Amino acid sequence: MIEEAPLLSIRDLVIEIRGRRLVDVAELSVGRGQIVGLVGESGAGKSLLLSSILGLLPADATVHGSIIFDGLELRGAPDRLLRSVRGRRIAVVLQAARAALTPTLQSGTWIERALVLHHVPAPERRARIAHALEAVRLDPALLRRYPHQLSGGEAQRVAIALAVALRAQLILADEATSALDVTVQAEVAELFRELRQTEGTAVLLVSHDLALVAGLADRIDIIAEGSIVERGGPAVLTDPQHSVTRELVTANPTLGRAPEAAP
Amino acid sequence: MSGSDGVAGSADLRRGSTAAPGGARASAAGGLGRVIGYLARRPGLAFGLGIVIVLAAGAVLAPVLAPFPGDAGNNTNLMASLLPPGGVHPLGTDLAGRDVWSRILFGIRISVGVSVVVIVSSLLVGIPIGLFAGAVGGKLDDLLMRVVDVFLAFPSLLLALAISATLGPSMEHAAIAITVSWWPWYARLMRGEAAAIRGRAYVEAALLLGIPRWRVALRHILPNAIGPIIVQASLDLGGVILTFAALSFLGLGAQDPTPEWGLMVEQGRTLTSTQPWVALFPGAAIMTAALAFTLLGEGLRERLDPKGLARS
Repeated sequence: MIEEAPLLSIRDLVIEIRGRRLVDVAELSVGRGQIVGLVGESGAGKSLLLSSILGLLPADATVHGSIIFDGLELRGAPDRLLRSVRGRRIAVVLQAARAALTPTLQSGTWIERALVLHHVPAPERRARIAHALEAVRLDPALLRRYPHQLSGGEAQRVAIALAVALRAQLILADEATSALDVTVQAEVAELFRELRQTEGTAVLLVSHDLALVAGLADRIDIIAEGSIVERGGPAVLTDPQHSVTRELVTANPTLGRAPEAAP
Repeated sequence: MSGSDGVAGSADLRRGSTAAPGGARASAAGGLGRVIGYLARRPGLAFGLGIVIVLAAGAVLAPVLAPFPGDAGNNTNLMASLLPPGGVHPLGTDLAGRDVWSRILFGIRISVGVSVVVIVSSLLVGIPIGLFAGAVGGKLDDLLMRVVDVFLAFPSLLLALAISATLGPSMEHAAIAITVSWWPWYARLMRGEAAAIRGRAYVEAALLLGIPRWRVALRHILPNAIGPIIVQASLDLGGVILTFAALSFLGLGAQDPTPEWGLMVEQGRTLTSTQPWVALFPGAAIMTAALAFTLLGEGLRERLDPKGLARS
């Protein structure tokens, strides 16, 4: 039963802050090893939705509905449970690659400490880190560097390497490539594709960049004003039904080619 | 200003060789050479650091360096009262016939030592309170900061005076009084830094990794917020030395025969026209020590520029 259930299943999720309804999603799910794109303009409620999954909403927010991850109800779950899910089972990769790494810690220390936190035994840590570095094609020498000594792409690889080392089942990528150069964007996108193949990692790709998402996602959900307004495969982009989708498509001149460019 | 050359030098020193693979470090000799070069471009910092080193050495070696170690204590030698500088008394003697130079040397332990203790105690109170308020936020933050505001509403010297007058005149009470009037500055500074850092992406990322909030505050916020507070503390050391000397001068701090510099100035106060050395040399010691710590603090500020720390 649980094997067939999606890895992440959100139902009737409503998030209100000071009486304003900012998110109202009837249904959103991510299957095991699936890459789902969540696309919308800034302010559409994407980041709020992500924060609600890991229980890190602002204190004045109220949440209704259900967020089931791998059979666990996360909405209103005790902090202990949420902390054991954060990072270890659901990893988040943020937009600000270098700024997301603590400036006073070497990247290797940062990874090591997260593994210690999630009770990965010492002999296993080395093997896991080595495997993760290989998976994201990161030079082990970079582990001795501080964030300001890394490029944006390298910093993003460090963050993704940690997700691999922790064996996260789901990566929530919050505009994870938006701040990177175009070529590095493509590399990181390729990385997500590979991780799905080799590690079976599911990805919820949150972005305003339709072209990137179209080349990567199995399914795309378009979000506007807190609600999913359109859903489908990459074809959604060639034949958009909803006005918001049409706006997102026309805002991106390269998009016409994107679905064909995807393998 | 030491110009663009100096700024580049500071960036080099802070970052190490960024471009070198594996962050290869310069050899020890090369590192020392760079430190000397760095100091050579900053005469103020070099002077401050030099004086602080001399003060530290003087405090440690006082029993060896002082010609009359006993004069730092309860000795009286009325035969040698108010001798002018020269001979065996390089800085003269005071009314009780005690060697001023010996008393100044032992006074480092009191005047500078107590000030260091006061600053460290203020940091130990102020930093946790400020970190807690800034990292947690909300109503508790408001409450703690209003308490801090109450303390900061009084001029710190006045507050220290009132507290030490209430507790009774003694060196320990003066130290407590200054600490009570000083910690709120660090609490407020720390709170501001912590609150600003709380919104940074790496704090969000740490929480998203499942790290408990208290540990995020200790390991991810504190180390990135501490720079400006250390700078402020070293700048304040000069001010605390002056405040402590002022309390002793007014009779609320150290008591005779303690060789505290402010008290020594007070003891020579009525003799300034006839035997100026009794007050002049301890006064010069206060001024030099306060200036040295201020220059050192200014140098540290440039080095640990808070804006430079998080720059990506």
